[in-house]
Amino acid sequence: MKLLTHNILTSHVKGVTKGYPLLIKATEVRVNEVEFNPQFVSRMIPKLEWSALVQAAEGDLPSSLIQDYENNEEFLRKVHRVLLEVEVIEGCLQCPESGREFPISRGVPNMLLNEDDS
Amino acid sequence: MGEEYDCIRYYCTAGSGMEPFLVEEVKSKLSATDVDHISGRVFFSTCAPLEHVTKLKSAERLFLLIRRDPPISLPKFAARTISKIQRSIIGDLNSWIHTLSIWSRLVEELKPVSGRGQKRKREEEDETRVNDKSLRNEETLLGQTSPTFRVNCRCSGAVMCSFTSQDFSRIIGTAIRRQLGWKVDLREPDLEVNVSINDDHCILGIPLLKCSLASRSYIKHSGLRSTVAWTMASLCSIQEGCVILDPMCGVGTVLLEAAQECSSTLFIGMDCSAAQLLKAAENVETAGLGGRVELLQSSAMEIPLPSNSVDGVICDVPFGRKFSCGTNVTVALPKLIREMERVLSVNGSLVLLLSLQLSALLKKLLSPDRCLLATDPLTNKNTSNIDSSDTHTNTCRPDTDTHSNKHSSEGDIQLSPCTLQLQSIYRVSLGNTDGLIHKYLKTMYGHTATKAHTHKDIDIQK
Repeated sequence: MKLLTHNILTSHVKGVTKGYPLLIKATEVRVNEVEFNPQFVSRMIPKLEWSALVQAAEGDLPSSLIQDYENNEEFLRKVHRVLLEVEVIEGCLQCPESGREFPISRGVPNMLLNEDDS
Repeated sequence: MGEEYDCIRYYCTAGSGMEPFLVEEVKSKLSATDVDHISGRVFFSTCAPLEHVTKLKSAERLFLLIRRDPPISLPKFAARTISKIQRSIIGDLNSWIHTLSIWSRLVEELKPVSGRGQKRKREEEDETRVNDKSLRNEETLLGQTSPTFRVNCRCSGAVMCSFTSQDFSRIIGTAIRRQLGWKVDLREPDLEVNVSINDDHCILGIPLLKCSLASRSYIKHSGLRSTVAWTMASLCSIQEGCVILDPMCGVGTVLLEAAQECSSTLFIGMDCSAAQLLKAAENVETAGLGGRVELLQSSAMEIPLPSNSVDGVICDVPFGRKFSCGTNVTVALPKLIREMERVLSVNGSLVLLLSLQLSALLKKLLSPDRCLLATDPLTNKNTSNIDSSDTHTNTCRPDTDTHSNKHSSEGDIQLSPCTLQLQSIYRVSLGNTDGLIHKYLKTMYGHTATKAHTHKDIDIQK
């Protein structure tokens, strides 16, 4: 699971009003090399919850978005690395409100709810 | 012989219902001219390089056109028939010679570089053979090679009373051999001559590739036919910087086809089956799309994304009675639509592929005006007084619903759909069955659909 995906994922456990952001508990993380596409990164930034991304990135990113980021290649590359190159292979995501855990295995998070949660 | 390309006339076969999409594609990608289509075929001329032509996404097989003639009419006297057929099919020899020279050139382009040396050697051998033969027709000695060939003939209509397709193949093969000097090789010919004869036309062509353009080199595990998947993606109007969701992605065919067309877009695929997702992951890797396609295990009826978060939803809804996780599709359809509508942002597109049965069910569910439900001919009831929730209940009441029927169906009607405005429906062939592609636009909540866009008014486009 990439941090770009994590930034969008929301817990939909029944009764939960704010199931975002999910807490990441990673047991295995991998950093891949992914081709840098500055347009892609620039376009994704406005769609992100920046504070959730900063939290997930654990210090690699500034706490607020810099001005004129579209033209700042160095910044875009940092964001690219955090969004697309860091991958949680094993671990789980925890709903901040209900505590329910969603496992991540082989890089794919399992968001399926059981009968009792939904 | 520089970089300029002459305008070449091609035709492609297309699955039933795909023809209008292919017409659009050749015009926009190849700047094609003289575009014409009949059922199952699109004819076009283009100067675009062959490499671009072979990248068409909604086409099946690609052919060079030799000629397209009006239908053959058989003469009264049987004795003359065969020679008449041969004369009309061969017709002007120049059309064959011209197409052969184009074919020779294009085949060179299709070969990998290492293969070219071999071809040249073969050409020299062939020329020696040609010179040795005693030929009736001098035109074959225009310094051209004499390829080996085989005829592939499909016939239907009035001519079938007298001849079978095999008869035609033989008759035509003989004519080609005699009049053009080409040699027959039924097992591994250089080229194939494709003949299509019916009551409307006689089409002659040479296929450029053995396999269909629909079999993609970048897809390892195939699911939905790639041409249909691509068409669904093209209907979704994907822009740069979008987030597109396929909530029942299976092995990811729709995502892969969509990702081919747009490089600055994020594609999210969900499926409840871990096995399917494994294959999808392999497909994503084979296609080199790891940076732009993300996969999740999730139910499409409970999408773990916030409302109004994606710009487009594309979904091939299962055709069988049940989803892979066990839920009955007719029960699940309203939940599915409700979730897809929820996560879609305003002005986003929803494109669905549905079986005939589900398409009919969905039309009932999303009828924009309550009165339309009430005048449903199946119920045969008075219009103004009808409690439309009753009708709704009849069509999609779940068997194991724990809520009271009225409550659940009213809940469904309120959520549904004034926000999903039907744009169009297209019927396409999926091989042994047909499917219907529905396209919806998400409008502002509470907006009533304009009169033009009721399900009754939209013509099903073929």
